[in-house]
Amino acid sequence: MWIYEKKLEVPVRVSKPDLQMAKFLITQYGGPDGELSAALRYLNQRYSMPNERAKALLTDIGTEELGHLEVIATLVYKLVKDATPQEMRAAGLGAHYADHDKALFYTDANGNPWTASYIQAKGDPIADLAEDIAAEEKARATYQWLINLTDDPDVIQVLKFLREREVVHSQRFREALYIVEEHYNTRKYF
Amino acid sequence: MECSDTLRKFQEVQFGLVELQLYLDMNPADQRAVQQYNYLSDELHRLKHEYEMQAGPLMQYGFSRSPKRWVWTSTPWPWEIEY
Ligand SMILES: [Fe+2]
Repeated sequence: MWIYEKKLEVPVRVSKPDLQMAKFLITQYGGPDGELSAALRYLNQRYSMPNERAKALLTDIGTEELGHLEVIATLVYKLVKDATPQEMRAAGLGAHYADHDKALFYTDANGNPWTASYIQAKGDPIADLAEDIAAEEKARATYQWLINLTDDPDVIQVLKFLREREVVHSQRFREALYIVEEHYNTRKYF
Repeated sequence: MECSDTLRKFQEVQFGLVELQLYLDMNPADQRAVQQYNYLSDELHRLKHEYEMQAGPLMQYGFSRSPKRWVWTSTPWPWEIEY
């Protein structure tokens, strides 16, 4: 069961409309290393995760990622809110407008729709946690590239927060991998 | 305190709890961290109540009490709030 909270994890403000930035940001909504991928990857891996601590961690990070999904959605929503179809077309969002108007959609920055092949579940705790660490590092890098693409201080502030969260998630997943590997080694040799 | 100040404070305390939750998942034997978690949890509940008196229910399915009038449908959604 999940309970919705009618607020964001962090305040989200934008200083000006920026359609091109919205087009780039959408990849963290529905792209390979985005927040939807992250939430679904972790929450789904729980059922075959044998380690108690790692199971709790997948639940708690997976839930935080759902919160991040709404932070990204809010950024995109606020950047696009007041645009005209002509402005969207000029910013490279004409194809998006034709298919979705201003609706958000789960795509990467090139408009490719989200697919389950972005995520993995091997059923092997070491393989899955290694996948999660890599996913966090890719998300961290994506947030850095997005920061490099804008000069809006309000947007940068939110993206820096999300980048730091990926650093923390990666750290916690490394600890979980260490714990699980220790357990495997013990079982193998004694 | 103004409504948005309370929300800001709530978000800060909750952020501390998110961090502690992930830390405790990996370090469940850390008693000091558990104490800190419970201290912040009390603070979170106090701020939640304060915010809800001003801005309406924060949570669904009974985790927030409703005022006499149902306002879940009329209070702003997270993407509409101007921070
Ligand atoms: Fe993450």
